[in-house]
Parts: sequence; structure tokens; C-alpha cells
Amino acid sequence: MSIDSVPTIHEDLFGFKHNEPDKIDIHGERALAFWFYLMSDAMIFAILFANFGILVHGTAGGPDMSEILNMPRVALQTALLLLSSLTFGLVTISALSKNRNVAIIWLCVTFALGAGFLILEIGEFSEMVAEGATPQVSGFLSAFYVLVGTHGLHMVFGLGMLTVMLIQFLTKGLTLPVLSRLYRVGLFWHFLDLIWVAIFSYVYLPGALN
Amino acid sequence: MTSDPEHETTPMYLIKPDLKTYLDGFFYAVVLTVIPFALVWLSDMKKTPGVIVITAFAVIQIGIHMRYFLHYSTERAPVSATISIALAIIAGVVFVGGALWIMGDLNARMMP
Repeated sequence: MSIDSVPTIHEDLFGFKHNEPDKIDIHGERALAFWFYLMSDAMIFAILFANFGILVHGTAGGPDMSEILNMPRVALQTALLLLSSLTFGLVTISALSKNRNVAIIWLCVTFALGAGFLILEIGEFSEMVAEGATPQVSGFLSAFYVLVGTHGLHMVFGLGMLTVMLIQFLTKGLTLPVLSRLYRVGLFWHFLDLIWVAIFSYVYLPGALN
Repeated sequence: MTSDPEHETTPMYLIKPDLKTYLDGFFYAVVLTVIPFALVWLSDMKKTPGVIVITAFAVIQIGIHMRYFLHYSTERAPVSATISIALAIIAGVVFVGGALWIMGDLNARMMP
């Protein structure tokens, strides 16, 4: 983004407007490619939701959703994840305000909230296994573990990404490539919250209905 | 969002979002989460109307997340991102709707 040269704005194949063919274009294209990745990831979840919808009544004498549902825990998980979306927003804002230390604090808060979510989920799974509700009991439980577990696995990768961002904030500072990476990690993190909305709406809440 | 040329040439990752958008999004998301949780928790709704109401809130909340957290807007995102969303929605509806339809139909035809 040089100020001296008069930019000649042209639109590329992907609809991005450029004025100079430098690294900025690459990061714009990366953001778009990451968006495509998120949409294909949404397809994975769509298939897992379809799988869950088919198998939800296939309990084979095992527990059904109403028996494994713990509403306070689901509410707490939802609250943690939603709060972490807000705090990631604060990371983005403080990083783009060139306020590195504040960004690091909010990044740690986001990590703690995400880790809290995962601890609750691990607690849920281990409780279920202890009560004998393992994946091999019924088709319903297999579908449940795969769907919720895939989201949990994404959360683990998300926490890994947050750690990488923390290290790069500390070692590289708020450079253009780091900010570009932060943008994509942000997309990923907010996307996980979006998937969780679908999970609590279709997996957990219907279990409490008559 | 605005039409000044500086803004149009700035890559998305360098556009600083407003704190207000996150706070607004958070507020809407909390409202749209609390209502279905309260409905399920406090009332004794039947399965079908309950799932319809929950679906309505979920769809609205996903829209809110896209707009306020992922900052998706047709002005800001390239047109191919919009196409990919449309494709994802169509494919998702076909996957979920089609699978439930066919498997439900097969289930209804099963011998008791």
C-alpha cells in the first residue's frame, strides 16, 4: 500500500481489487482459499449431521439423548465458546491497533476459554464411558461421538493455532504475515463457534424435548 | 463497507473491525441462545414444534455469526466467497434433507 504511486486498481480472477502485485495479493488470496476450506469443512459437518439425524433413534436398547444430556454443562460450554468468540474479536482489534501486549492478554483469555470448553467435553465423554455409554453400544452413540468429537478435534487444532499465534506475536511481532495469519485463525475460531450453534441446536436441545 | 479507494484496496485482514460489531454480535448471539435454552428447559414443548422453533433460532444465530464475527458481507468479501457459501448451503441441504428423506422412507417400508 504505497502512498506515492497512483494505484491502478484492477480486479483479479477472484474478484479481489489490487493496486500492486505484491505480497498483499497473496494474503488476500490466502484468505479466500481459507474461506473455501471452511466451506468444505462445513460439508464434513453436514454429512456428520445427516448421519446423526439418521441414527438418532437407533439406540439398540442403550441410552438415548435425554439420558446422556446434561443441560447445565451444555449451557456452560456454549457460554465459554461464545465468550471466546468475543475475546478473539478483541485480539483482532488490539492487534490491528498495534497494541501487542493487550492482544497477547486477550489471546491467552481466548485460549483459556477454549481449553475450558474442551475440558468440559472430555469430562462429558469420560463420564459417558464410565456409565457404559461407549461408541460401540449403538448407532446413535457412534454418531454422537463422531459428530461432537470432530468438533472437539477442531477445537484442539484451534488451540494449537492460538499457541502458534502467541509464539509469533512474541517472536515476530505484529508483521503483515502474522496479521494475515491471525485473520485466518480468527475465521477458523468463529467458524467453530458457528458449528457449535448447530450442535447444541440439533444434538443437545432436542434431547430435552418430550 | 465504505467506498473510499483506500478501503477497497486494503486486504480484508488489515481492516480493523469495530468493537461495536463484536459487542452487538455477542448481544444478539446471547439472546438467540438463551431463548431456545429457556424454552427447552422451562416449558414442556413437544418434539416437532420444539425442533422447528430451535431451527429458526439456530438459522438466525448462524447468520448473526457470519455477519458480526466472520464479517461476511457481499461488499467486503469477493464474489467467489459468496458463491462458495451458496454452494455449501445447497449441498448441505441436499446431504441432510436427502439422507433423512431416503433413510426415513426406507425405515417406514421395513418389515416390523
